[in-house]
Amino acid sequence: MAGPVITYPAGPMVPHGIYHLLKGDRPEVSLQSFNDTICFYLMGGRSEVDRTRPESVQLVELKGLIAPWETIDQQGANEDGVTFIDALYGPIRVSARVVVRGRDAKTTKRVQRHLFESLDVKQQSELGWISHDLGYWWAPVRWWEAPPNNYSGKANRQEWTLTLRADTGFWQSYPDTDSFSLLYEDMVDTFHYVTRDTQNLGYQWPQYYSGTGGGYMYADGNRALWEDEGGLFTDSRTVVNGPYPDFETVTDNQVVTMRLGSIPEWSTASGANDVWARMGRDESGDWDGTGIRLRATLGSVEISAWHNFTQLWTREKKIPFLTPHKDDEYQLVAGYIGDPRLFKVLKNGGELFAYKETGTISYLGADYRGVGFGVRAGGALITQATPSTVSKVSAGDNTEVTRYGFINRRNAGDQDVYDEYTLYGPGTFGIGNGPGSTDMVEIGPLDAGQVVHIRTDPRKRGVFDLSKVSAAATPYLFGAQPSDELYRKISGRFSQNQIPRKQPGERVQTHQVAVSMGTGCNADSKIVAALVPLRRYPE
Amino acid sequence: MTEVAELQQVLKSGDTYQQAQAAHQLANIAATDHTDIVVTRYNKYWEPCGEIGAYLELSAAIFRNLAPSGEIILNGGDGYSTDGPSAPDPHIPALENCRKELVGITIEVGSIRWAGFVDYTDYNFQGGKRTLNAKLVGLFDLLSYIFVWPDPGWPIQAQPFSHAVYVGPIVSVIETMCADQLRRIQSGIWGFLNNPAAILNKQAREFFGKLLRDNTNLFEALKTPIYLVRHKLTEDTSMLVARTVRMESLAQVIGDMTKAYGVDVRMDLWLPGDPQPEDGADLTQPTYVLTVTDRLTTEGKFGDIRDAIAKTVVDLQGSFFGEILPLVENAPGMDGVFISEVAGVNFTPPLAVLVDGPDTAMSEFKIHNRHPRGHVMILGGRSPKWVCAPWLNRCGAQAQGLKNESMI
Repeated sequence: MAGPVITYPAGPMVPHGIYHLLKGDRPEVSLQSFNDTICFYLMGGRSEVDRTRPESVQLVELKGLIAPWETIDQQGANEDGVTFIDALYGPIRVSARVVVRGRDAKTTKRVQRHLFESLDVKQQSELGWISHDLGYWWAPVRWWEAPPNNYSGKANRQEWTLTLRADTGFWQSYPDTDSFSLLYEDMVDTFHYVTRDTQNLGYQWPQYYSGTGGGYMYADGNRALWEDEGGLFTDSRTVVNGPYPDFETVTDNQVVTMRLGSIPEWSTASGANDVWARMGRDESGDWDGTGIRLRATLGSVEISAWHNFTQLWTREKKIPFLTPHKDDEYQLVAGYIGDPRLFKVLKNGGELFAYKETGTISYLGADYRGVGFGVRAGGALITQATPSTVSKVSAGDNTEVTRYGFINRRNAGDQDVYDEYTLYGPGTFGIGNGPGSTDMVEIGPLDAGQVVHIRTDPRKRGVFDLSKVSAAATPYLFGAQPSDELYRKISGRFSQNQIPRKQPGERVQTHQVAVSMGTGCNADSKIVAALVPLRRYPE
Repeated sequence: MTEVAELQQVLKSGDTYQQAQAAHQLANIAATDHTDIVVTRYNKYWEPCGEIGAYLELSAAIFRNLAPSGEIILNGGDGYSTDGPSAPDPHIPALENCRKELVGITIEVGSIRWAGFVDYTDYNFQGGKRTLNAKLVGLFDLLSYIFVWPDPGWPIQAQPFSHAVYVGPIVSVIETMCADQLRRIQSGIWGFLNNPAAILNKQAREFFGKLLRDNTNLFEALKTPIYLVRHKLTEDTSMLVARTVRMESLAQVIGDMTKAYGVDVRMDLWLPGDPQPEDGADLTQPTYVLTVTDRLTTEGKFGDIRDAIAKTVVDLQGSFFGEILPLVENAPGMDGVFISEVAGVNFTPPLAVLVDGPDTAMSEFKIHNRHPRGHVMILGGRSPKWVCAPWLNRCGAQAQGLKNESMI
């Protein structure tokens, strides 16, 4: 999403503003319009103006940052005192006295107009705070009451009292997320060996070079990296490492994962990082030129099938601004149970590209179960375009396996918060009933491609089939409405999935929620957990 | 791309953080109840003619097995202006036209559609204010004007039988009865002989007439304007009933028969663009869709018509002997519905989960426990005829025994 188009004060920060922002001695308060087009820095270093451009809205006085609360008590007819039952927070009602400033009457009016346009009772703008300790916390606010101020008639300043309401009663920050999916690590190499002297990858990876350029691939004890050919007007060169010795998957359906160790060199003749699946071997155990290749490069991913060093077919998907980053995991899924010619490219668990081969051109079978990786160094003007380094390669069978484990939950707020889970089918999933609980709530079986969202907050509607969401009303149905069949797929109920708040004076703790992935899960299956931390006070 | 499509894309391809955010936003969209109220006015051929937005008051109710009702109150203006802010609502002349022809109205709230037509309008003047009060009646009302002929294959002047007799599971009985009579009307076979006024009210007759005249294809005509969603008789598990009918309206008979059996009869409006009411329906024009659904929460073990028999036997035994634990017992919370594990007639509780606890979603509730203080037994009367039907030999004999006992 694009940032705000208009900011007040406009232009770069002034030096004394930077001083205050870095020093952290003033509250950094901002107000962002509901559609994110205008941002007002109301207070703090970012609100310091350049005196030739005084257009800004300055905060003079602020109150009501903490939402008021009420207790629910019961008192028996003969009871001394009351019995506390619960307490409920009301909405936050912020009253902010601001001064709208401009260099002359016209610009002042414009700033004022922008301020009023940015606030609405039906839309929620964002009132935010930045502090060195806590980061960014904000509340969605509505314009709650009309300002009571008198019209000043001054050319370059007008005071307004803005009354804003945050419905939720709390300040929030960025959600804490974690995910859990199956591991395909029957084979793992993290390059904990040094082969710089031999200019290869040692006995682990047989290498096959092609192309007229120079350069070679070696391991530095931490990752596999490409040594550029020096000089001007270099040519491109490609290496295929593998098949990994003494390793073959049991079935045709493979998952091969590559973790990158750096971003690639930014160049028009860019380098590329490859993942190889279904590699074949010749008599000596070297690569016979057969396999399925995933090539990830700046702005695109590509799947191609190879036999005898010849490309059989290739499918490319352009993804604007796709940049491989350090620690990005690229996963090539070659085949699913019952669908051996369905290929998918996942990046950090999200699906980038899927291709189903309709013919039977690519090779599969017991002879083609090796795995490997590779790079291409692009030819360029000054040295080669270097591809990313590779810090880890792993592979395994895309079969139904069961995995138990934990997802980490962190709540930086001062309120206990209910967790939210998103499940990506297929398969049957289990989620613990709260941190530390061994009671598992089973969900499933979900279909392939089905995405289910669970809100454990009992006050919210609980289960959603996100693959069927539509913004329009559901079409008119004859007879019965479809029942919430997802509820039938859940055995048990989430009752304790509140993630505890940060304890007073302590650092944020990590809580663990048990999860499991059972029957029917494959490389597409995933559990994503998220919670939005809430605080009473933003600073 | 719509917002939903964008979010779906991120949900699929984003990283964990983006996926979690997209999931949250999509769930927010899904959790929003669509409560926009859309009132649409149609002409007599169910072609939309405008949206009524500036109503002063609006009400609509859908009753079970009764004609739905509704009411729209519109601003009647100042009495002489024809335009400007003091003019009456522009829909008033069209609604008042109900005395001449059918004025269709739908009221849609999310995925619920109330469909009917203007029954009558009142132009009121009171306290200096003019309003138009349009009373609406639902499509189900048409069933009040379709009479059951003992034999729909003969003209009314020469009916060979005195009564039509329907025996079987109640859903199939109602469907068959309606189908017989609708076929008679929609094929128009006796239209030239019968007095049409006796069949339908005037507004509906015009609509029927138009569709019948314009549909040269007889098969199409048989589906329009009323389409009946049929269940297979052999798969019908609803309770058995028997009813003799002579020249009563469908609505009357349905009202009579469905009282005790949890059967839901609905007349909905199908408009082009809606999903077909059942596979193979292939509706193409606005159609009234009649559905009969068994909403009884007891179920048998066969899943076909044999359940209808088993359920009925259990119910009869229960109603006669009261509860005979463990043979026959009352379904929890369902007065007059009996279940028996021995006979394989079980009770599926309705799926409504209300959970008490901290942070409950409810704003108020009350749990009511009642002590059973006594039984009301009504003895005497006669068993339904079907229990002696020859095709139901065994339970016929059993019920015969019951009947003898009750006469002592």
